[in-house]
This record gives sequence, structure tokens and C-alpha cells, in this order.
Amino acid sequence: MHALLVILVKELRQLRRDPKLVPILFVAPVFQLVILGYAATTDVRRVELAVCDLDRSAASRSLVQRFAGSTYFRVAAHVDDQTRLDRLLQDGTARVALTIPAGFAAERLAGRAGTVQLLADGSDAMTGTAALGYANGVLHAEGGAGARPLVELRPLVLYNPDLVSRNFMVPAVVSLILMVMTMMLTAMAIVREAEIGTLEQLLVTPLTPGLLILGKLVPYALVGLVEALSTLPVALLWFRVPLRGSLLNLLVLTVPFMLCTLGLGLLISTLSRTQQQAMMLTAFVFMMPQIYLSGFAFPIQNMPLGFQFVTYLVPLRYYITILRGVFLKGVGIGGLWPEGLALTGLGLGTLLLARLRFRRRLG
Amino acid sequence: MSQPVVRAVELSRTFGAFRAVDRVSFEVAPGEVFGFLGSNGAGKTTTIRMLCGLLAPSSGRAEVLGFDVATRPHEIKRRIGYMSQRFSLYTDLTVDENLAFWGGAYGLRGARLAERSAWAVEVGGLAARRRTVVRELPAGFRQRLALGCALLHEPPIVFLDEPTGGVDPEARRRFWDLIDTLAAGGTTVFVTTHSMDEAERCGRVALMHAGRLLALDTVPGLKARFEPGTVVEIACPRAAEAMRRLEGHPGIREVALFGELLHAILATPEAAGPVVAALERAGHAPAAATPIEPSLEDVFIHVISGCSTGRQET
Amino acid sequence: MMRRTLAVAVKELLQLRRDWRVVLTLVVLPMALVLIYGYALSFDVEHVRLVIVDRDGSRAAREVAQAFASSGHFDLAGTSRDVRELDRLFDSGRAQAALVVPAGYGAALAARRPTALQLVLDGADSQTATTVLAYARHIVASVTPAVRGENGGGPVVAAPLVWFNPDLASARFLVPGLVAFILMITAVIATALAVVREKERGTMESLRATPLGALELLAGKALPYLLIASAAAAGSLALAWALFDVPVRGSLGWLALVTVLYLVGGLGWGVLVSTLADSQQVAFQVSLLSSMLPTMLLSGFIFPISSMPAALQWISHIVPARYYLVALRAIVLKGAGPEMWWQQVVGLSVYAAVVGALATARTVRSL
Repeated sequence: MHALLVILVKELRQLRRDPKLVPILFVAPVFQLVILGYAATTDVRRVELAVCDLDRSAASRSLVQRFAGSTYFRVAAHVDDQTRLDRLLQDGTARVALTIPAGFAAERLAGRAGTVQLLADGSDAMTGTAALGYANGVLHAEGGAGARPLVELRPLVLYNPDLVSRNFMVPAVVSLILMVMTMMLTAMAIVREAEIGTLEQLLVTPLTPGLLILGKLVPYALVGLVEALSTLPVALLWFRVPLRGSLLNLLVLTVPFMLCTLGLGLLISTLSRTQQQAMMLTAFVFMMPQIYLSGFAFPIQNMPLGFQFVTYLVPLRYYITILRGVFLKGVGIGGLWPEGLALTGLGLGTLLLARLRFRRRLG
Repeated sequence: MSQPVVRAVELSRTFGAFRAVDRVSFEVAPGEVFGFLGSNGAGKTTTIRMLCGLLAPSSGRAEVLGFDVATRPHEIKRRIGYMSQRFSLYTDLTVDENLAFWGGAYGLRGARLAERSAWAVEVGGLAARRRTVVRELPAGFRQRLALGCALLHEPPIVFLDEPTGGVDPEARRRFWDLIDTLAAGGTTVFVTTHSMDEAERCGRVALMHAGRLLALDTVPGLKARFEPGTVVEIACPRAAEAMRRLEGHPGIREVALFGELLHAILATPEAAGPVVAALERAGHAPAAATPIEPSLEDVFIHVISGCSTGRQET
Repeated sequence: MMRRTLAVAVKELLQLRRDWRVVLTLVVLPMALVLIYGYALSFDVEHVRLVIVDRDGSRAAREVAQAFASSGHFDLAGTSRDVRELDRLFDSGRAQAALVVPAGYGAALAARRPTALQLVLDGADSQTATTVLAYARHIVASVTPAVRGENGGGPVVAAPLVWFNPDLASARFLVPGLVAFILMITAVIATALAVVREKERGTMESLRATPLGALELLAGKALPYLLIASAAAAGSLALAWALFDVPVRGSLGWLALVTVLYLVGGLGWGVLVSTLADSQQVAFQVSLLSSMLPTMLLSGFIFPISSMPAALQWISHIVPARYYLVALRAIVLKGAGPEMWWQQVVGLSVYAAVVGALATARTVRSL
């Protein structure tokens, strides 16, 4: 116990003297969250629309007006000739082109459906899909003034009624930042000691590898918690992400996640001989898969089955579910214990692996 | 000799196909300053790492303080001091903080820790710098602090792996004075070096080359391998040209330029006359050969070049 | 000038030949990453877990449920009779959408009275929810009849037509982005490390003692990496074409030109980073962070630039991947000629020139 204390004191002293401490703890996470929070939006807004109104009637103008008035579209160009739309789509001036054929008003007045043509640029499939959806909504609203379908679909959107993607992305970004920062720091921790030679010196002391690992773990867990506490206010107050669940639940469930990221960091540390190798491993073997296979930006259900199985090994997957659950759904530990359990299991597993590798290094 | 502190028997370590240490056997007595002399890659560090329990031997065995290095490294670690080749203190901690940490790592606390820290500060001449961050200390001070840290728990034996690399001559001298003090106090010092001057200060010296232990004796003992009169200094005009003439001469084993003089090892003391005569005949008159005391370097070169006439201790 | 640049390039190639593992990594790693993530990543919404709450039980209700189940977008995750059960299903994530058919739905339909279906959505993932809602609207509209409005106007319907990627497959859109992302990281890191290694070993000092100019030196060092990165780019794009149905509609020549220009910018950035960093570690850290995050977030690879706040849109102009992606998608997917994307070429050229000039200036100053 005394030995552990000695290690902790030393780690904390080193941390305190690190000139990067304040940047690491506060500046970097908050800065990243602000930038990422703004950048990581999948909301499709202000889609560039090119209009070719061949009807030039009150009805056609009203339709164009409805498009222009929605937040989803921005009229980027008006043309008189349909053939000019091709070019606008090709050079990217417009992503969606609306053609209102001559006779549109007359058809509608006659009670028949007024058909317009929507031309969408599918090369950006995401915006294309969303824009077509929005356009249908606009058309529906315009037509609704005239005819009604017999069956109306009334959507009820839970958790995030305005479908603001920021509410969905910001909690995930918080988890991403926590992971990157704690994993990088711990990955460097042991390799750095190996590189400067203090590790060898430590290994001839009676300190056991278990103690050394624990001594590295606790300070960085603290760093992680401080980071969590410095980014959460930004998410809540700046981005106004609703927190429907309890903060305490969130913090409690953060602990097993920390266990995973710190364990992975230590594992990387024991796998690499130089700090550079550690960075490479962190970036390509551990970070990229976590970003892409966690459901952060790409829904897991869309992946091929094999990859879906792989995602079960990705701690971030569980933690993102936890954060989104607590923030948006107000779910408590009662509903999130499977994720918590999975994280605990993965965390202990990686720590055990790190511990085994550590012994192997002794030769 | 009383119970040895270190005993190695046919100790070997291979890395893949490479034999870093090849069947090395020796014993170290308590209170001895035991030197391991060899060039880089001779296997000194590998040997020391095995003795400290950092590396398992591939074959053979070794005991430190009666504990087998392969099976009871933990018992050994508790009882030894070790200062590695690379300077290994936390440069971002102060002198006091380093002492507190390394002392704590060896289980020291309270009054004993304070007392031993005070000792390390005193012998290291660090009294005015206790609150200085180690990064800002001159190399000599760091060296003595590292030694102090390795000795906080008063180990009966301390292993020093090339302790004086990158230190100026004055600091080096102070460091070796410290080693002498330690040895006088009964601590066994096991030190590796590739510096001949430092090896001269050891009680006994083991010569290592390419993983093999080639010779082990006191410094005078090693030098006595040369028959008196076979190591000579030759003075003559145009020494560089003369050296080339002497290479291959039957009376000469080795010859090297030493400033304006030639440093030569003769096959027999009687060869001095013919060598001088040959030089004078070749136009290097006047030439003279003066017998000198062999240096450790002479011994070292002599032993590794395989012309050792003496017995090889194993 | 050319000869001395070449001399440096040849030396670099000789060193790289001995380091063939690095070369292999630089060429194979990008291809492997494109392969893996090209398969893994998709925005196409499929297998949405749908729960049906049928409180009507009529044939019409079964019909609409059947239409959802067979649409290909939904997986039937269960049926329920009780709306209160939905809370639990949504909280645990077992349901992402629920279709509620109210009692009396079938009767209303038979009498041609207006009625409504309710679609409950998990809005936490706003993007999926938006897409699901659009799918659902389409399904409902296609299986239920419309009535004429009271004021006599006909409805407005769309004849949608999607160009360049008719089935809106996200792979065609994401894979080019992935290629740009991975190439940028490899190009920046490889050069940054190569130059810093020279600094660390001290050979930079000896090189500076020669009559080599800064530009010659940097160009010579970057040239071999340009070759390697071009090979990686060709391999990655070939994989995209062969495995992910990314067509190449435009000219291969233009594609090569734009890609090389993009790589030159990336290599230039790598060199600039290395002139600023003193150790491989710092170089690695800076090059990784400065290439990975902006290329992923501010290039339009994943997140549409037009939806970002104005300040970020402005910042995105210094991200070369932004220009490359527009040009790449235009050439590959749209088959557009240079008159459509020359602005992107200007952007890439300006970037490469500025970065190159800064790197040269830095090197000159430290000489």
C-alpha cells in the first residue's frame, strides 16, 4: 500500500510539472469539442437548389417560394432552359434541380396531380437522400393545401423531436475526445519510461509490475475524469444538448470506459519499443477502428455482419450508447447495465493482457 | 576468500543466433571493486542485467547474495543497488522528489528515508540543490544523485553499468573517489567500463570480448602477463616511417605510434637489440628502446588479439 | 538544379530500397484501409428495427404492416398490442421505429374517411430518423389511396431522378472520401518522418554543407515519396473501382493529374511539419493530428460543409482534401471535364505552392 502511494505521488508530481498539463486537461478537450461539435453535423441544411420554372404561374411561384422559405433549401440559380441544369449539377453549383413543367398550374386546377421533376446529385448520397426526403415534404405541404391523402402519416419523434443531429453527435464527440486523450497519454506513459531508461531502474526495485501498472492507471484515470468534467459543461451549456438522465449515472458508467481506454493505452505501451511505434499503433490499430466501428458517424446496423461482430470488441461502441442513452433518453443504470458490464469485462481483459505483456518484457 | 557475493557458472545468454554472453564464470568477493572491461557489445551489460534479475540466463547459472538469478530475482532486487548505463532519474522531478520516490520504491519511509536522503545529498554534494529539478543539474551531479538513489537502501552490493559516460574528468574523479569510499565501507562494487583509466582503479578486472571472458586478475596480475622488458618505447627519427618498417619484423609482436615515439611489444626482451639495429640500418639513427611498464590497454589488445601466453581463467 | 534534385531523390530511393518494409507499408496500408472501411462504412439505412403495434387487426392494417416489412428497409423486430410497451423497447434500443395502426383504421379506410397512422421514431440518431421518415412516407403513399381536396386543387407529386449514383449507394460517395483521407495521412506522415529522421541522425547538417539549395533538397526528398504515394493512390482507386462499384466516368488522365496535385500538397505539408519539428515523435504527432482530423471533419468526406457554421466553412478552405474531394467525385462519379472543377485545381495548386514556399523559407532560414 505504501509502495502504491509512493508511485502515485511521483506520477502526480510529474504530471503537475508537465507544461502540457493545462492544455491536456482543459484547452485541448474543450477546443476539440467546440470545433467537432460544430463540424460533426449530419443535418442537411441549405441544400443548393436550381429552379427551372417553365410554367410561370402563380402556382409554380408559390411552390418555388415554399422551397426557398424552408431551411433545407437555398435557391442557388434560376434557369429558363432545362438543359442548363446538367451543367449546374455537374460543377456542383446545385445539388438538387427542380423543374416545373409548363401546364403545372392547369393540371392542378383540373384536379389532377401536378407533376414536377426533381433532379438530385447522387454523388453525395447522404445529402441526396436527405434532400429528396425534404423535397417530398415540401411538395406534400404545398399539395396538402389542395388534396389530402386518405391516410396521413403522423410522425412522433422520441428523444430528439427536432431531429437536431448535434444532440446526437456531441455526446459521441465527448466520448471520442475522452478516449483519444486518455489512450494517447497512457500509451506514452510506459514507453517514455522505457526510452529514458527509468523503466529498467524501476524493474530492479522490489516494486511489482502490478503495482507499477496500477500506479500509472490511477493518475490518468483522474485526468480522464477531469476531462469528462471539463467537456460536459461545454456540451450542456454551449451546445445545449439536453441531459435527461442523471449526471451521477453518467460518471459511474464512465469509470468502466476509462478502464478500457487506459487498459488499451497500457497495452499499446507494452507492445511498442519506441514512442513512435506507440503513436502508430494508437492511430491506426486502435483509434481508427474505434472511430469508424463505434457507431460514432456510421450506423453499426448498416455494416456487414462480420464487422458488426467486430464492433462488440470496441469499447467506444458501448460508451456512445451509454452517453446517448443518458443524455437523450434519460436511461439509467437499470437500462444500461449490459453496456457497463461489457465495458468492465473488456477493461479488465485489456488490463490483464497488458499485465501479461509487461511480465514478458522482463525477459 | 569468504562466501562470494556473486558467483557465475558457465553463464550464457543468446538472442536468437547471437551469443551475447558465452559461458562466463567468475566470483566476486565481499567488499571488492570488481571491474568488467570490454568494448561496446562485449556482453558486459547483458551480464549485469542477468545478475540483476532483469534478464533470464539462457544457460548456466548465477547467484547474487546466495539467491539464484533465474528463480529468485525478487529477493535479489530487494537487496541490490543498480545504476544503469543510461542515466535514469526522473529529470522532471527535483533532487528531493527523486530521493523520496526511489527510497519509497525500496520500501524506505519516515526517519530512515530522511536519514538516508540526507546521506545521499551529502555524498553527492547536492546540499544546495535539493529543490532543483534534475533536468537543470550538471551531468556530474546527476551521476552522483543516481548513485545515491541506488544506494538509499544500503545494499551490500551495487551494480554500476558504465556509470561515467558523458561526464567531465573532474566529475569522473569525484565519482571514483565515492566508489572507493563505498568499498572501504564494505560495499561490494561491480562496475563495467570501457575506459582503461577506470579499470586501473578496480581491485580485480575481468576482460570481456565478444561474449567471452578472456582474462580475470588484479591489475598488476594482468600486467604481469608480459615478460618484463617486452614492452618498450622506441625513440627514433621519422617514427611513422619507422613503424611501417617494423611491421612484420620477427622480433616485434605489435607496434603503434605514440606521439613522436613508437610503442612496441617485443617477442622476447632480447629482441630489443636487433630491432634497434635494424632501424638504424634503415636510416633511422639514432634509435633507442626503453623498457616501460605495460598499460592495461596493452594487456587488453594483447589478450583479444589472441596471443595471450598466460593462462586463461574461466 | 534538376540534376542535384535527382541526386537527392536517388539517394532517398536507395535508402528506401533497403527499407522496403516501409515502402510496402506505405503502399499496402492505404489499400488495406480502403478495403476494410469501404466495406464497413455505409450511410445506407437498412435493417431498421421496426415494431408494429396493430390495434386494429383489420386486413387493411395487415396490408400496411406487410408493405413496411417487405420494403427492404425494415426488419420486423416484434409486434405489440400495447403502446406502453414501446417505451421500454425504445429505451433499450431494441426498436428504432414503431408503426402504430389505430383502432378503426380499417373501417375508416373502407368508408373512405381520412385517417392516420402513427410512426414513432428514435430521434436520437437524427440522420437515420430523417431517412426512415422519408421511406415511411413513401410506403404509406404507395399503398393507400388519395382523395381529392376540398378546394379542388390536385396534389403535387415529384418525379424524382437521381443522377450520377441512381440508387444513392453511400459507398460510391464514401469510398472516394476514404481514399482522400487515407492518402493524405500517409503522404504527410511519410515525408514528415523522412525529413526529421535526417535531422535526428545529424545527416541534415552534412547535406546543408553541400551546394544543394533548400528547394532542391526538399524536392529531392519528397520526389520518391510522391512516387510511392502515387502507387498507393492508383491501388486504392483501382480497389474502389473493382470492389465498390465506384465508376470512373471521366478521364483517367485528369484523375491522375488532380491526384498528383493533391499528393504534392500533402507531401509539402509533411515537409513543412518536419521543418518545424525536431524529433520524430513531435513530427508524428503534429502530422497525424493536422492531417487526420481536418481531412475527416472539414473536407465534406462525412459531414456536409454547407451545413456547418460560416466560420468553419471558411476554415475548410485551407483543407486540401476539400478541393480534391469535389474534383474526385466530379471526375469519377459525374464524368465532368476540367471546365467543371478548375476552381478545385486552383485551390489545390495554391495550397501546394503556399505550403512549398513556407517549407523552403523555413529551411533557408535555418541554414
